[in-house]
Amino acid sequence: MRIKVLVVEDNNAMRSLITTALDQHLNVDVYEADNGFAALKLIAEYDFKMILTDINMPDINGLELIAFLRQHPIYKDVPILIISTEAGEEDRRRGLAIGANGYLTKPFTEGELVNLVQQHLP
Amino acid sequence: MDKSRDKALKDFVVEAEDILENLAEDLEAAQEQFEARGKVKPDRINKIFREMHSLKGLASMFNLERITTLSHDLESLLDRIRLGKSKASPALFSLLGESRSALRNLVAEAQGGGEETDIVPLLARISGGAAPAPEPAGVAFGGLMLDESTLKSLTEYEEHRLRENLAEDNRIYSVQVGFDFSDFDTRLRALTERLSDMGEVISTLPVMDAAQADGIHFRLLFGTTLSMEQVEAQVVDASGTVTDLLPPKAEKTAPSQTAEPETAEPQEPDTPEPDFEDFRGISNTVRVDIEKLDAVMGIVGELNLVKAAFEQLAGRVQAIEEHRELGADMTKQVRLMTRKLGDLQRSIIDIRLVPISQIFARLNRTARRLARNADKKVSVQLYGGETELDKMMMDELVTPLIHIIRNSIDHGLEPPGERLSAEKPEEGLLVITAYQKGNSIIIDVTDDGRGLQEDKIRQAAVRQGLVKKDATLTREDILDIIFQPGFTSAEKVTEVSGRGVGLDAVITAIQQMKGNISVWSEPGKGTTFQITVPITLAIIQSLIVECGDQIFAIPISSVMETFRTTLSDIQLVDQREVFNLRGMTLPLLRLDERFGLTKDRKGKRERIYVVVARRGEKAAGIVVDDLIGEQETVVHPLGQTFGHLAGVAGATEIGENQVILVIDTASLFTNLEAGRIQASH
Repeated sequence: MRIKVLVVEDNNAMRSLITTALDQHLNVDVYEADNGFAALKLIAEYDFKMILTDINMPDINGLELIAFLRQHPIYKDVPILIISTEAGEEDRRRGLAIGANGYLTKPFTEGELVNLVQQHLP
Repeated sequence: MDKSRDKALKDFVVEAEDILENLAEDLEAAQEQFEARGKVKPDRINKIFREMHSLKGLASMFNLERITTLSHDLESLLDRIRLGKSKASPALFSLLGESRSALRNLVAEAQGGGEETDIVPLLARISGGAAPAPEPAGVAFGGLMLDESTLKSLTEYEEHRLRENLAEDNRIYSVQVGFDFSDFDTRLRALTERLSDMGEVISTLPVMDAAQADGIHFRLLFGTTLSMEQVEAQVVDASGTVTDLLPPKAEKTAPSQTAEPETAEPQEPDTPEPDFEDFRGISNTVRVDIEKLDAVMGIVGELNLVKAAFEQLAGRVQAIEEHRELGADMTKQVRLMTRKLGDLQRSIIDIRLVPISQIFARLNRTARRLARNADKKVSVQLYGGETELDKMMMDELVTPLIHIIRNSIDHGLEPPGERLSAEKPEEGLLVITAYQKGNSIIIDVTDDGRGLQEDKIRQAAVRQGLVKKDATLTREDILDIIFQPGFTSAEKVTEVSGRGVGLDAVITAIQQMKGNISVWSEPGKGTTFQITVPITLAIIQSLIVECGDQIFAIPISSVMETFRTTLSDIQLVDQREVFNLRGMTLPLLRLDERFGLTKDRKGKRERIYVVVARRGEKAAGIVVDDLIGEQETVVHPLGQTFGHLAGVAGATEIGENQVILVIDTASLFTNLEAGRIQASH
């Protein structure tokens, strides 16, 4: 069975860029959520081996999602990557402090994305 | 590669246009707030920031340099404002507005259209920026009993908001709520929206709860001026628990030191009283689950049956010659019991009643938002907020009322320009009035718009195949059409209407509450929707009738009148039985036939009774064999197996442990309609 990866990003075009790149270059099944609530539902339903998340989202933000995942029995060790921007430096730092494993800063290239994800895949 | 980039670029343009559209709306709302109150709600600024943030991130991925540069500078500016490092000003809003237009042009350029936009002057103004705000007071989290996981998962912005709330001397509560997994998103969003009207939801942290595997819990950080009890009242339906995160406030109004003691009596030692009083709580109210009240009401219903049995016994005793006096005494006591049971019932109902003002604020807000989205101006007036009705009924009323308000704003009120040329004030008027009439609550929603446009409704109905092209429609028919399922007069689908939730949803909801809706309209003057619902459904006054050897209850609220007549007075029109009542043609429905109770027609009595009941705008008659009387009934739902039966609202007990069906006139008549359509084809 292929590894499942979840991409949480509220911006449709950005999410589609990421999922397309992962689809094309890695042997993984990519699932997408456009907000934190949708992510919570998918997390309960599937067994993801990696999660990429934006920070600035409505409803619940990326930090809250990370904090939740880190106390979740199934997800406490699953790699989490933050999709951030240079302006989000402080929040990115906080994300890493509560247990995210790595980050990308927009703009990033397809290569950078694929490399980072590959590094953290089990 | 180029092809996929083309496709991606197209995605970008669609998304960017979406973002800019939202941005326009949010900027407008923010400016409105700023002009009205001199400040903007933080979550609005944060939303504008997020939009700019998304646009910048997106543009940078596509190497769209100028969009990236402009949105980057705007993002930094907005970041400073949302973090309290800069202040909003009128100049800021015009700068943001112009920048948005420039961004829209740049997006058009990106897909190969539009003129070259010069962003340099804008960039200069942005770097001139907003006035720096006074240094933040630097409130510490001292004394705040915040758990570590919440504290650590705060974003920079959330942390700033928490400090601001503390600086404003707000109370900070941790509100833990639990929801079922199936609908937690809609319910949590609704709760957040409600709380946001009374304060600020600073953060929303999902938390694991091993004990509740099928549900999900959230811990909200809520800043507000409300008391703990008031917050608790808001989260009671989400089985919420509220924790005050701040130490109790020092009493600011300490006993006055200036007042001189009047006597020379020795003073009590100056040691402060121990804080025992604090434990008593400020409010002397108790929150009760409405199901418990239902249970008590059920017991009262059973007591009524016991009372009826006693009444009969007393009668029997009285009939025995040597015990007549004893029987009379018993009857007297039974009467007293009847009165006291009535008091008890009324007191229980009273507990369930809440003033309708509880939903007025929400209606007002929704109306304003809808008007803004529709580019219309509206002044909302609310009257009768003190009118009380059952808490359950009130919760059910919100959605239908919002639909009606939507309808008034979308279709009733004209755009400002059209109003001015019709010599009306530019600002439309929406008046919501609630009042009590007998055991019913009436709510009028009146607008001073163009009135129901009968031509348009007729055309739309023909277009949607609801009526034939050349059908002759009375005014009443036309008013009926707007309540038909699926009917919409909107030519294009907009944000606020035409999404398939029409007035038919309203009528269904109101009928489920055993209520009625009617509409008046005058071209050019306006429209009034009138909703009538019983104050409570916990207990209803019913008319008890007999038909086909069975007893039925018909809720009094839907009965207009009753009369006695004979079978020979029934006329046949279009193969339908009707009765001429004071010149009005009243369609008839035979209850026994409807429920398949008639086997032999011949044995039937010539004398019949007709119960005239409301059917939306019109009336219809229910033919029964006999009227037995009126009785207060507690209606029990029929459960899943029979719950869907058309024409039946539930079951109730009357004396001698007899269970009878309660008629639901609305769904009874729906079938009458269906029958007619079949017959005419």
